[in-house]
Amino acid sequence: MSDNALNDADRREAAISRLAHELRRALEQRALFELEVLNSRDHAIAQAAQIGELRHRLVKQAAILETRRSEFSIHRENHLAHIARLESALADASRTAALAESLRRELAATRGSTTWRIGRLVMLPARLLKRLLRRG
Amino acid sequence: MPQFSIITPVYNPPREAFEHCVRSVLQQTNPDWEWCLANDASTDEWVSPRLQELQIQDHRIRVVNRSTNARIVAASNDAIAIANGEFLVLLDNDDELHHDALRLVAGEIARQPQCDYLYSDENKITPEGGHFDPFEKPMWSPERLLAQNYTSHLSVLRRSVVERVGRFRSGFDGSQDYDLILRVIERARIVAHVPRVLYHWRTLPTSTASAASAKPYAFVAALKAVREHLERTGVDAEVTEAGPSLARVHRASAHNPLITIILPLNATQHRVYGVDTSLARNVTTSLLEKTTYNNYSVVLVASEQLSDVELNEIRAQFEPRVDVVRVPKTYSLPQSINAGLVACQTAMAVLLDQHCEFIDGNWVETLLGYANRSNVAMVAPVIVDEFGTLLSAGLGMTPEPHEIAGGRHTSDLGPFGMFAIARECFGVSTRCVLIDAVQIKRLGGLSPNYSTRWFDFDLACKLHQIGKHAIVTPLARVRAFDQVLGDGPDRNLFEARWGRLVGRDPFTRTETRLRELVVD
Repeated sequence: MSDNALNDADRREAAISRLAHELRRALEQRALFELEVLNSRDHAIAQAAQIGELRHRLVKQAAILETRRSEFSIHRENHLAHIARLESALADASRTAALAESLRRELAATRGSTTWRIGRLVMLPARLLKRLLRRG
Repeated sequence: MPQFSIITPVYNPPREAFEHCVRSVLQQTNPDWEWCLANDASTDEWVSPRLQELQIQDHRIRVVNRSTNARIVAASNDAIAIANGEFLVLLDNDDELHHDALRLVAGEIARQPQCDYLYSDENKITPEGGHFDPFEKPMWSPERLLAQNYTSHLSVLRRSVVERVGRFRSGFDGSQDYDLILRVIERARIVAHVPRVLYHWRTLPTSTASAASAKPYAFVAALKAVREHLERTGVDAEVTEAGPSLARVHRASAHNPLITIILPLNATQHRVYGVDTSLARNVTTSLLEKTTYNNYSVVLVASEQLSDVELNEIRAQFEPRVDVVRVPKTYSLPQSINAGLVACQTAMAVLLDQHCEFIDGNWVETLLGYANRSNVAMVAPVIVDEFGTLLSAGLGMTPEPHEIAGGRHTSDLGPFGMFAIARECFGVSTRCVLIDAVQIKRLGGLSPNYSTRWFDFDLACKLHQIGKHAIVTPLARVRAFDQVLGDGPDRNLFEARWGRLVGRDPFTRTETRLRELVVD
């Protein structure tokens, strides 16, 4: 076998070895990429799951808030009704007080009138007699 | 034409129980029914006049009288013969329907008009009328149905399908319902579950409700019904007894596909039966010595911790059907499994943890027997620990994420026999599991964000999202030497992703019953 042929064989051997090495590297790279793809898929699904979970909690929270809002609304309505009742009672009380005041004034005016005083004077003997009879 | 025909064969029922039964029918909130009763030549004098009286009392009640006693199958078929309803409702002459039963079933039919078979939850009643033992059933679980007639009561079947399959068959007395259901589901377009207790099964000394042993002939008939069902559906299998009223279906593998066993290994030593053992060597020795299945290749996912010498020795045992993937020692278990998944070139793969060793040699054949069922992405054996305690018979999500049967003794059959039978479940442990590798890769493999076995639950949730579930079978058992599930940051991560699924496991619904099974 000539030197040239030997050199060709060596070169081919070296090339095959290099290619095999490159192929191994490429396969390792591919495996790494595939692993990355797996991880990315998992990440995407996990993110979607977390969003789903947040949405679920949001809906749940919204439902709780809606319940609370509705309860608060009922509570507020009850309060307003109570206030209205109180105000109405207060107005009634004011009206009654005003009436009482006007009656009191009317009474005072009556008691301060000349007619009332003359009447009391006229009725004085009778009152005294009544008092004596009570003591007796 | 009424929507429902209630089918009741009558033979000398206890009078009081029968009157309760009558009341439960007459009080139905949905009036769209007829009641077809077949008097199977009852010898009790009150029966015939009472049935006549009922017929006069309500035009929806129709009675057919047999001149001779021909037992339950013939009587039931006589009742079906006079039925006009779209659906047949099976009711025994001493049991009761919930007053809303037909309304709720009609609601489910309206939701899924193509339903051909519906079943509901059930409970039992004492002769005095006390309710107990509620059975909150799983969603449609065809594998479980082969092991036990879990659908049982209340069963509602489309009449046209019942007519097509030839009504009840003689030779199955005591399990005639089971035989009919198995024949109906072969043709049913949709099977639906109404998750409410709609049937009250009276426990009388002579009824199967009181004890499975009350009617031993019924169980023999049940096994026969399952065998014939498997024959009709072209499944080569052996059916044996697994416990009281429980059957085991040993399928023969139809084909032997090439599978890849993905086995992450590191240098961990563990006390096994009191001896410090290399887990890597223990699992590979067990795999080689026990496994009877031949058509597999192995992907060894070896951590840098494992020495080259040890790895080469292990590798040599599996040559030429072995690939080795070296991973950094910082890789977690799910990361290592994912690296193995990338190297897996087959459609089916087994994920195997180095903490395991095999008890049954035909474990691969057994798992492969379930692999071709629709919507099943994973099949797993039952996992036990070195002391014979169950570690996992599937994963459940109700009331909390837990390993089903964890901490129970292997002789424990569990609620309604569930530990002793192959059945559908939410997920399974990936300590040892046959997976649909293509599907799992599409889902991104196992999540590397978990450092503990919570990644099993995460994977189960991912599969649940796309309508897939798992099967666990006690016909294959694997021993594992690792610890059970713990809480911690992984639990919080899981809750952040899948909290909405906690407590909503369609396969294990009995919250109070399963509360005691939670493993912390």
